[in-house]
Amino acid sequence: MTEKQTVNLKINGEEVEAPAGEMLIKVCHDRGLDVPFFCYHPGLVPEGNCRMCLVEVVKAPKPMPACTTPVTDGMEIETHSEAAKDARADVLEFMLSNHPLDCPICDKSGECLLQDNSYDHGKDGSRMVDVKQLKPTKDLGNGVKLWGNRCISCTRCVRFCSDIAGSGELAMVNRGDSSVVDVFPGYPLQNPLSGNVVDICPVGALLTEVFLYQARVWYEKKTASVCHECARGCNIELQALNNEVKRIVARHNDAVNDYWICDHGRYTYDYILGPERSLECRLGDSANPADAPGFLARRLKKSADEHGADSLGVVVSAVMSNEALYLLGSLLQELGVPAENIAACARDDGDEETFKGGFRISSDRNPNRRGVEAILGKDAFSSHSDGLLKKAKASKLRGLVLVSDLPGQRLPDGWIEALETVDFGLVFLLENDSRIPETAHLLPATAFSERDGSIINEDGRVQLVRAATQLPRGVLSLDELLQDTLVELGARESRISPRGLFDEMAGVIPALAGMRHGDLGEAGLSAQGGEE
Amino acid sequence: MAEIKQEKFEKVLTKYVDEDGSATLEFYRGHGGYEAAERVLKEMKPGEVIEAVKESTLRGRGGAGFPCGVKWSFVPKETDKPKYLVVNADESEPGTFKDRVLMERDPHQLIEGSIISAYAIESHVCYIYIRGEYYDAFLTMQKAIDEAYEAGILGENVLGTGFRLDMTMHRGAGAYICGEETGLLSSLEGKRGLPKIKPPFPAVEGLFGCPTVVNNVETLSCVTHIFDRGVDWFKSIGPPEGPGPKLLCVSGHVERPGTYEVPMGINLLDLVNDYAGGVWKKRKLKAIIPGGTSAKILTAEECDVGMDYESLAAKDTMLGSGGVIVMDEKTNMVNALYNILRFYAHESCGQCTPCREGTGWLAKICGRILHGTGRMEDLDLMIDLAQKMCGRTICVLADAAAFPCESIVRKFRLEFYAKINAGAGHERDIHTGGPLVQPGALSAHNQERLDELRGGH
Repeated sequence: MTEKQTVNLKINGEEVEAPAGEMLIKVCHDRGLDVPFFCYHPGLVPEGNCRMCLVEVVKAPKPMPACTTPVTDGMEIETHSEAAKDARADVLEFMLSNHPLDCPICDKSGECLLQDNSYDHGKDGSRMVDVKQLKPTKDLGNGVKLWGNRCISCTRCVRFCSDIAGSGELAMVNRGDSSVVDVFPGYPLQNPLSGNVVDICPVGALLTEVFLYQARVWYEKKTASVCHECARGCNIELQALNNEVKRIVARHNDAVNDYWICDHGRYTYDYILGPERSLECRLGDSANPADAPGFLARRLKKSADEHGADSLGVVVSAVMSNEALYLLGSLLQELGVPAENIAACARDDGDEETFKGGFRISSDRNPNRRGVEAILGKDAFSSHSDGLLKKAKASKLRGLVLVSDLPGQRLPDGWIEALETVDFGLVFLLENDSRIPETAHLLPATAFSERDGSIINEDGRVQLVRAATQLPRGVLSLDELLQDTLVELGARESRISPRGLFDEMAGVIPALAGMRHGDLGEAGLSAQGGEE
Repeated sequence: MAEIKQEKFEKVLTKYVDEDGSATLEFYRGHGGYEAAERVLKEMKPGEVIEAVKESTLRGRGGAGFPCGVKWSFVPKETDKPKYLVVNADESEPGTFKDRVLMERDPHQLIEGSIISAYAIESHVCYIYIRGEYYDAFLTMQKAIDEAYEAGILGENVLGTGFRLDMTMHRGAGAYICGEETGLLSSLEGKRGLPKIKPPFPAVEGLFGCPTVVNNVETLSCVTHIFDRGVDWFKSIGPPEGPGPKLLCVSGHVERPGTYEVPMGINLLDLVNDYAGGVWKKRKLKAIIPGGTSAKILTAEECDVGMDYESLAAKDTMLGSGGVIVMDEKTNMVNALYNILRFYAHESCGQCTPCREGTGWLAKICGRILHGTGRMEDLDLMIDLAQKMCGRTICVLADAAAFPCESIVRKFRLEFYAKINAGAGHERDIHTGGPLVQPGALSAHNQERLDELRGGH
């Protein structure tokens, strides 16, 4: 890259240095100045149509939209002069002249740019006494509903569909104050990124059917996490109310997903509290999960002592967190189980999809395949799996622990058959599976929204997963259970926090060398040997 | 009918429009056509052509009055991209019908001007974006282009000089906004006719992202004559800031509405009285809109003004597209304004908030005053809204709606009072003082929409 050129300008009397060609609104926002906007979105090509970001450019005859005005040398900007403030207040008055005052029944209420901007920059009262324009309310497709009356014609959704998704289903129809976003008859919204138009709609014109009237957004607990539906590791925000995940929205991360997520990741949270979720605890005579650490330590030790550590096998999944994998690894090491007895189970591959704006859905649907490979070795998915199955067939396997927590996918038949042949079988089960024999012991597995931990995406980026909800009653945290088991076995002194666990793990696992939990932050870090 | 006194000025642009067969190549060549273009292409360098047009101080005849040569000089010389010449023949400003005459009656004059312009900016493709409703003009122009191709005036070897120029017609679909140059380019690219943010200006990044010059039909027709008769001849007509012959379209309450070729700077009253036969039915003059409905209105007392860029600017209005709309004493100005505002509300492209919402709002208020539920405060509200629409949008459609609104409300306030007072007895909404919505007031559009939403139940 050539040397970055900078320009000097004055914003509100202060000397500012900014990269040449940068849009004024970005420079202002970077400096913490409140320049309001509707149609501007950092992930989209600016269109400059809402006129909300008008600022005063000294010596220019008219106020200029900050989102489409590049900074130039010697420019003088006033963002909060009377002229600039008046211009914006006037735009808001026009904006509201046909907008319905239905905030109390609007789902966007609480996260609506029009509400916020009216509050911060608008006038009180209205001079509009005439009949407002009426526009259609309809389904656009893919569970996205349009409330035309609320549309402020910012075209964010239109630009998203044409420039990012590349499918261009949405367009503005009609002119003047009848302008509204719509689809062409017979060609509904159907791209796999369609849910993003709801995220980026600054008002309540586009809403998702599944979240409609489910929660008032200000009551929701919002948690930054990572999507578990493919190996991309898109950054998401889980929004929960009353311990139930109500909605997943995209979270910005330039290194992974920009501002977008796919519909599959957005709408896959129903299994967390779904009817198929397994909550059964079956530990021999006990049904009390509190007995689990002692039970696990006792039975594994017994099996190892009686039949040799080589007769124990474990199957992990590529959804588990690094921490759980690491603890499971150290538990087996403690018992002397050889590394090749730890196999991993992956979800089936899906279709790889790349979109016009560069957003990609990976064919690998395993959020932590790289983590399994980094902690348990590259062979866990292939030769370890084959070897362990062969051992089971030859009746050389006497104890088997299975982690079956792949959402929407049950374990392969081979492992279920293996359960029949062993003396001690234990399954961490996420969703009910009628094939599991009565003799096997059961513990409920955790869903990704219920645990803290880290995963590594396909580019080798280590990112933090955070618990958005408490564990359902009867479900144990796998990390805590494994730590307690190690304590029972005398291998650890006590349970430590997820933070301590990560830092401990980073000291041992080469891929995480040099990382600290505190450095991961919201955006994560690139792992050693990562492809970035 | 008043005597028409036109002998004092020799018509140039419309010299032959009344003669039979004036649209044919044979006629045009028989009257010295294409000699100027041939001379320019053979004897002058493109840079010299631009300099000559700059020297002539020819200003754009489309409405904005931007100096034509200066516009051409903005086109980058060193570029790998193709350059385009686009002829703006959309002529959508209400009250304007001058380009139509030029295209229907003397199409080769435009083709010749376009050849010279394309040569000056080194463009090899010229598009003529013609108003969709101008079907006859389209056919005539197309026929003229076909003739020109056949005669070697267009194509690979223009007039035997080796210069290449292709000319293509494109018909608009009837949107006012497609007469705005960036809106026109969007439409020409096959998109919705939405104006684009300037800068970048079309001269740098226009049609398909390439350098583009957009010129009005009359402007290019003038170019022909600048090179036919010389720069000095052109500058000798009218005021030095914007000289040349000018077509003015007189419509409204006059005896002889029509397109008149006059020297720039002619007195508006002389135009109306001498050329257009005066106000009809022996009535008195009330007001004149001098440059299409986007221009601010002039009261009868203000009409003693020269029809040129500077003199009209001094009266706080503009020459615009040259659409002179004359109103007699019986005109109701509330009705006139409502007509204008409905036009802009209908034609706003809907991109920018102040225009999208403001044009509709103004029309609603004006309609309310006209139909008897106006309030006194509506007048200040209209002026205030109009001022707040100006200069805050991508293109100037908002300004074009605001100018007539503000000027008519200010200058004819008493007529608005009369309408408001006449409607004082109307039942009103007790909270807002606005109209009380009565059964049956729901618009047909909304009724239809509701039926649709109910799914026919």
